[in-house]
Amino acid sequence: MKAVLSAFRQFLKSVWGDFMLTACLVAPVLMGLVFKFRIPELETFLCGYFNKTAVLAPYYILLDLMLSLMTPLMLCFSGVMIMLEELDDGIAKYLQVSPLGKTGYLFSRIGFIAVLSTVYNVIIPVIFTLSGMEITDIALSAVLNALISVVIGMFVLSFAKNKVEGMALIKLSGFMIFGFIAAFFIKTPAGYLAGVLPSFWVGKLVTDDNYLYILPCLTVSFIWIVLLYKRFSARVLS
Amino acid sequence: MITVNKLFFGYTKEVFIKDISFMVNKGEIFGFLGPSGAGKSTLQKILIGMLKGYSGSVTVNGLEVRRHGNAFYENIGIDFEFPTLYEKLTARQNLKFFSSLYSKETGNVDRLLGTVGLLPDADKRVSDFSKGMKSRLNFIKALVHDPDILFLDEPTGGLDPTNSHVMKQLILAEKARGKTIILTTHNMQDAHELCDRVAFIVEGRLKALDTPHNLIMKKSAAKIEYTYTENGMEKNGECEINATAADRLLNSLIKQNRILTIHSKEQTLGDVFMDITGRRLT
Ligand SMILES: Nc1ncnc2c1ncn2[C@@H]1O[C@H](COP(=O)(O)OP(=O)(O)O)[C@@H](O)[C@H]1O
Ligand SMILES: [Mg+2]
Repeated sequence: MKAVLSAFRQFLKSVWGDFMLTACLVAPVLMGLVFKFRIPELETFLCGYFNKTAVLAPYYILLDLMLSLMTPLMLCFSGVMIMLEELDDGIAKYLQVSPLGKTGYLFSRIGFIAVLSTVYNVIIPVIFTLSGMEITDIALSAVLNALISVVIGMFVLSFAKNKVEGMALIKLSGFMIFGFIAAFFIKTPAGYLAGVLPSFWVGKLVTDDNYLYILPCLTVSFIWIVLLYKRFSARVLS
Repeated sequence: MITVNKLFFGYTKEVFIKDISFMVNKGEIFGFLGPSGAGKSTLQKILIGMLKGYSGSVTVNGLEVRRHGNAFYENIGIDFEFPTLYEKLTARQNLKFFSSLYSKETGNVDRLLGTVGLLPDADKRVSDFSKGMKSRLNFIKALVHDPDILFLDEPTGGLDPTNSHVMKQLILAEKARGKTIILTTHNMQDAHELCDRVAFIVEGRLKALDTPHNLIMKKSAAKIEYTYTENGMEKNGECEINATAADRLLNSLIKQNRILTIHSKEQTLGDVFMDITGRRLT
């Protein structure tokens, strides 16, 4: 445990030592502030302009969902950048033959990020929700989004050879947002094709208010993790 | 300390490490000597529990390494072939971090930096270090928790003669402090200077194992080479050191005081390696 805490402390120091990564931690708060205070103003303006009672309001849930994916995505980005650097420096290999071990290393990086992101991601939507999401929805989507960020992190680390590629792949992972959009807009059975994205099920859960969607979300995420594991461990754990 | 019995291992289905058995005693420096690609690093990775898919038995400190937990690493120090350091951090920050991973807080970061002459550079970033400085730092990183067993992979590899000499002195100093040291090298000189016992490794097999002295002595005897003049021409002759009495020419040259130069030529570990394995070291 001492080793895991030390390794996590070192991880936080590395994040803190890098301006861009520190900015990532602040980004979800800034985005929340903009959403919370600027969007309703814009809505009032648009309603007056088009002479309607609601223009953006029906999409507030979608905006809330996007905000709730921001935190895990940003933290995941920090984690991936630091792990790519640790791979370059040979640190990942060395830590595995220290009392930290393989599992300790993964936990101190990916595991802690998932936990941190979950906590952070409950607080931010509670303060900044536009649609008035219920706390249970917020908590569930926070946990599921953290799991999604683990999938994204494994995906990026499996394929990125360096930090530049890592950054490109993280941007590509923004495609996860499409899962929310599909869940929200596509009501035909074809919409379920987007179900390969775990985010689709989080979107379903929040829009349809049915907790059973947790199951396909977990299943799809674990399938991704299993599919990625071999490549991931060859890259990171050897 | 370490017992290896009938070890087999392959990265793929093909078996690479074949039927290796040996023991390492407490307090000795044990070397794997062999050309590049022989399997030295692979063997070391098996000993430190990085490669678990082996058959046979490998015990370190009485534990089968395949089944060890992370506590196993509290008491072994590892210096990989290439430095594994945070390039962005200073030397001191690196050592502080790595020592914080171990339950045994030794608090000897500055003493260690001092032993390798890095104290003046303790607060410089590792990325600004020369290759020799990185090697020294990487070496003391393996000592932060004062382990009983050290695994060093090519500790002198790629170092200039000065740095190589410094590194060898450091290794001998650790031996003097009672540590058991397992090292790999493709340099016969280093193996000879450092190792109490050497294992010749070629193509995943152990071809010979003994003290450097015995390995050299067991093989063909050392030779004597001498030069003399005959009819105004300089000529040379040679004979085995244990057959000087039979060399009539040499004996008559000595009696006539006609020897120009004479010296014995001991076999090197490299010659013996070539004799036994049929392979050159480099
Ligand atoms: N991770 C790996 N996967 C597959 N083959 C490997 C791996 N690591 C090393 N090898 C192969 O095993 C052989 C021995 O490598 P190594 O033990 O590093 O040799 P040495 O340290 O004696 O130079 C080489 O042919 C090398 O290509
Ligand atoms: Mg090697």
